[in-house]
Amino acid sequence: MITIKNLDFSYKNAAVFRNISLEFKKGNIYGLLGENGVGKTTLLKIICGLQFPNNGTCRVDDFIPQERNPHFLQNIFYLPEEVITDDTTPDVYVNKLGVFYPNYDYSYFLNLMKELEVDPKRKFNALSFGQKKKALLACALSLRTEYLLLDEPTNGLDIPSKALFRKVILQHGVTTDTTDLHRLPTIIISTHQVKDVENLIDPIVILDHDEVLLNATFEEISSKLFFEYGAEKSDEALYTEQMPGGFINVIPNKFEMDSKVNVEALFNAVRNNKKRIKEIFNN
Amino acid sequence: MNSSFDIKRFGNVVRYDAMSYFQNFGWTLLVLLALPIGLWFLLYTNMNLNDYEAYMTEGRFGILQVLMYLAVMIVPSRLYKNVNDPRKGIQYAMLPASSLEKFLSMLLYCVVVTPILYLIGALLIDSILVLIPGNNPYEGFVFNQIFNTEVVKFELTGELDDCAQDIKLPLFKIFAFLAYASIFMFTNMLFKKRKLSKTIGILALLGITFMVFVIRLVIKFEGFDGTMNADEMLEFEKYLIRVIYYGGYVINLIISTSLLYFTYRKIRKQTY
Repeated sequence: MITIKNLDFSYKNAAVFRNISLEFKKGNIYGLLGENGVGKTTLLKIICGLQFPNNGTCRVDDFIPQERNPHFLQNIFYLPEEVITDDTTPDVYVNKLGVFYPNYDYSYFLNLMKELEVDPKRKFNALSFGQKKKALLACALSLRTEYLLLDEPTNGLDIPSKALFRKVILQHGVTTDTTDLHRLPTIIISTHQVKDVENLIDPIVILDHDEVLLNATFEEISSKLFFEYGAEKSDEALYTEQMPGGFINVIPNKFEMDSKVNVEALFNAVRNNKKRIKEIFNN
Repeated sequence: MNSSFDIKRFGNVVRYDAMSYFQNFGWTLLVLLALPIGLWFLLYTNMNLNDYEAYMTEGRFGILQVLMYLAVMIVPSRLYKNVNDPRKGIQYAMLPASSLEKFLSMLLYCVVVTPILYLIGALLIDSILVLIPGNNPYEGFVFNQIFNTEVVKFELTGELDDCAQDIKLPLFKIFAFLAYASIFMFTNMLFKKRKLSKTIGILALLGITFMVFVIRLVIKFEGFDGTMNADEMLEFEKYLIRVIYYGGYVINLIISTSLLYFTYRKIRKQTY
């Protein structure tokens, strides 16, 4: 489990987080959402020990990430947004990294590459941006770390590739050869493109400038908020958005009605009603 | 498994660095190895230059040593150029190995592998050049110079020679080499861009400052030159040489240990 307590972080004088506390439970695929510049990447970097908090603590299981203990590092992998590759092939690259990871699975890598339709023997330089991104994703997944942090993984992917991305991520948890729930991979996907990961993530964490606005599962969200798809705007709505054929209203769920969570509408509702959302979810 | 040092993990880091070694430093190494061939060719085509200094094994060994120092200067900024880069350095930082293992591998490649690899390659090339039949400007194998203790001693002659024997110059050279290598390892971690030019600039500045200091010292020393007789002068010179060389030991030891420690610390504390 990842536990963040009273964490402060700033770049020189620019505060990014002030006293934030947050938990990421094991075995889930978290969606880390937020506008550009709220600190999604910084939070991922703190979790994997690339940035150090000014105050407060961040713990991943029994490890303090900033100590960069090798046992901690062999169970976490961070895939940055920017595609940076060696002048080599994905095949050589993954084997170069794989020796460090005890659960590395080369045959799984080959299967993923096949599924993602990328040639593992072709040099990175000869691959398109999307292919490079998919190859790196296959490398990251095949290392089979307990924690996988993906920063804007769908940026630059075409529509079929986004679908493939969702497929392999969903399969990843299932294909992990373990019955121990504590060993199931925890994936955190940071993105501002919520539609790309809508049917993939659960729970959702919404970050704002220096605070956590929401950290809840879909079940919790749908029990507290009602997503009404109708012909008219609702007066009670925290957020309303026009859609083809009507409106979507995000309303406090007073009557415990079931509805399908629309992540984009949720995000905007949270963003526009920060105080109210906190009240709703803290009760 | 120890979290600070594990031989298997260290082996993995050494293997990881080896895979990048020829990719990032291979061409530089080849160019540095090709330079003695260029020199030989220059001498071969200009045999009438009569510059015997370069033809002699001592002179050639000197040139190879200078080129080896050049290789040691360049290797950190080529092989580990990205380790402190905010974007490209992430993979290195996240590599499941301890900072100590990463540092020791860096030390191995910068201080041991590169000079040995260069000297072996260069000596081999020089030996091949010597074997070329015909009007060859090279005579004798440079290889023999490694075992010639005269070469590794500083050129102190005459009455000061016993002083030079006394202060174990080969060991002094090893310390000086370690200090030299540690400077480039440290500045490679310190600077993010233009690593070599910044280091050379700083060294030049420090060199000029040191020269000014030495010149001032010499001027002061010449002031009481007339007050000593020849024996007193010789004793004083011997004393001065001992001070300089023993001071050199201490300074080189301080430079290498402190800079190597700070390099290790930078690996540990570098943020991205």
